[in-house]
Amino acid sequence: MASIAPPLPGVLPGDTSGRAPLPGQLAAARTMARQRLALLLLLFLAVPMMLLARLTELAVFEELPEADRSFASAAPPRADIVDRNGVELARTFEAYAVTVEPRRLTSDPRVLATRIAAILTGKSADEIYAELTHRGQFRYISRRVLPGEAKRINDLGEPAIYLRREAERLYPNINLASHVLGYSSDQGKGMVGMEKAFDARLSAPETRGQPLALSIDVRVQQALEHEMRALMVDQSAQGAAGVVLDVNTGEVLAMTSLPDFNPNKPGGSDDASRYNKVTFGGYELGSTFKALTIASALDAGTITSMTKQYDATAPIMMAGFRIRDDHAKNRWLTVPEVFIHSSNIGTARIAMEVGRERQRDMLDKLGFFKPVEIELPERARPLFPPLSNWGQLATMTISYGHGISVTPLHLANAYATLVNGGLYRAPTLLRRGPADVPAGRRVFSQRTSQTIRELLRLVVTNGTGRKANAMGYRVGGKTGTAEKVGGGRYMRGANVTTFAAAFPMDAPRYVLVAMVDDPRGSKATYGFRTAGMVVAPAVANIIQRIGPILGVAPDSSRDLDVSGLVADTTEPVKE
Amino acid sequence: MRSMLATGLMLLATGVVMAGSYTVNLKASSERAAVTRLRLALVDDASRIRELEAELRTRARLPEMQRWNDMVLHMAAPQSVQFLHSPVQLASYAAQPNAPQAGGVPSLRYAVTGADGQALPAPIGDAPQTIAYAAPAEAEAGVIKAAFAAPVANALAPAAGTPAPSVADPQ
Repeated sequence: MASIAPPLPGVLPGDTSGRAPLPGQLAAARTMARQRLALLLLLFLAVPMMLLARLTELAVFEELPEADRSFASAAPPRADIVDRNGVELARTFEAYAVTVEPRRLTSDPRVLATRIAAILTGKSADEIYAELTHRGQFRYISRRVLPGEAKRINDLGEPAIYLRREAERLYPNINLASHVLGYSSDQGKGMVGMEKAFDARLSAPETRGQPLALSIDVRVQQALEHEMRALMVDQSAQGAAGVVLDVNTGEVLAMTSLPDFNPNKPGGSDDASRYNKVTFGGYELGSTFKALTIASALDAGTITSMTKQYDATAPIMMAGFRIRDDHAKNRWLTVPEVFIHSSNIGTARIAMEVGRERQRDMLDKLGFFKPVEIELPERARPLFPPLSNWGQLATMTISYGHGISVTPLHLANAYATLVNGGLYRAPTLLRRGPADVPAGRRVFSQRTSQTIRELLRLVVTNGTGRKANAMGYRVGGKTGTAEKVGGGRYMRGANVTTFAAAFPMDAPRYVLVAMVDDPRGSKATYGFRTAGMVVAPAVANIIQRIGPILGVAPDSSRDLDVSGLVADTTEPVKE
Repeated sequence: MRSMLATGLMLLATGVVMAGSYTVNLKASSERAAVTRLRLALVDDASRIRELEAELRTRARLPEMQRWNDMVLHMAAPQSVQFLHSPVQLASYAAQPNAPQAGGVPSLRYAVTGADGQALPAPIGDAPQTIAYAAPAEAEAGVIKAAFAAPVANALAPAAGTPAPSVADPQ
């Protein structure tokens, strides 16, 4: 039987030769073992060194992971909309929606409805009961529920009731500027107004952190809406509209169309309320066009002097139509008289001198043959006769605002062009910095613009617009009363009354166009339904309110010198 | 023996370095978690601030302010005669409180009126007291009555030695 003998002293482990190593061999083996051990230790030391190096790299050079940044981002799911001063007009925040699957309800719906109604103060128990017992599979009990209320409902323990986190769009000013803002759908998609026009900008992750700044000034908007609403109610009118425009930048400072709607509950409004009359409504705006006709005549050189007279002794008969004056003077009238007495006959004769081509060219330059240039998607195409049907009669009627329908914003921008020195700039609902203001294209000469300012001021001091004369604000403007068009024909007894104003006329800064759709007259207007009686007083009120806000200080010691024009007139106009 | 000692020292050093590295790692992890918690808190706070701002903005919305004004305050837009156009004009009112004002401009007017032109009650406990430094001119017909509470009137009173202002209805 074989046995394993212990190694002899001095024999290296593993050495099976049985021979004792030489002293040199033993030393070499020990050295090698030590080297191996040292190498192993170095490897051990290398690991923490590598860890240290990696830590340093992470701490110094590495950026935060993308996921970390996204969850820590405070950017809303949809960008806020603010006015020109940064006041919120629309913002999105997280809220809860309380929903129910009625078929899975386990508790008594009547008791449950009472308990939920005690938490949701805006809903009655009957309303909630109706939802709980609905035959559908899924119902909303309430939306925009605060977190505290949501928690209390969750604590009720009903398994058929679910809480859903939703991004809710809130319009804190309710109806204010609703036609400008529009609204977005439950899925966060812009449906109307600026919400629709800038849907991509508002929802893109790269841009939604920055609010969209509009040109609107919410204080001016409130003043305009309040006064126009009061006027609409007083006149029992079908609607009203107004717009305030900066003549030097083209920024829209306020725009209202009444009736309006609550963008927080767009489904609760009818079609008429969602209709933006300022950009989507086409109207024959009547005598407000006379300023444009006289301006084109001044530019064309057919009016060489304000003392030039036009025959207004009798109505003009043409092609079976009769052009007459509402305030007939039955005599020859100077240019200022034609304007302040709002003579259709005189204006028609001025237009005939100017001619069809120049008239069309002027209207084309003012953008009257295409939808108004603004960001809103709701824009109407103007209605005007085709070239083949634009004869002498059309030239004459269009000269005083009949036979062509444009939006109030078209008119406001045309008046801005008239008084700002003659430069057309497309209006905008976005805030423009000084560097963003376009140079504009020239439509009228500087001299024509100056003359028109004086004529407009004269209408307010001596003409049909005297009730718009807000003391100290040097208001100028023109009234316009036209029969309303409905079903393709003029509706007798139904008017569209308009007042186009600018102030202060010595250095115009703002244009205000106010319009009332079918005013019925009131005690305040002694039953009259003309623009001078209906709209002009509201214009004065609006200007008195918005003037100080816009930095226009009233000054009764200053005014535009219209003495030269006054000398050409004979008597003040009686409404 | 020396080699054993050296080996032991190296092992000890390795252990110390490893323990130190692990501690650093732990520290980094805890700091990172703290930063994450802080970020979450910031997001939560920002969300709450937005909610509060939205609530404030909704409660203080301009149409609601208008309603309060129409029902209670009756603030009116300032008239042109209430604007001063130079410091000299302002100083002239203080210099001669009882003298007729240039251009018929009242010495002090608030754009506040009650229903039917009546003065509003004073905002503090004292009974309202009206003062007049000068008889208003015709041009002021559209300007509403000014009502000052007693402290305001005292502050406006002329210095000692000058005649006290007569207390009367400025209309």
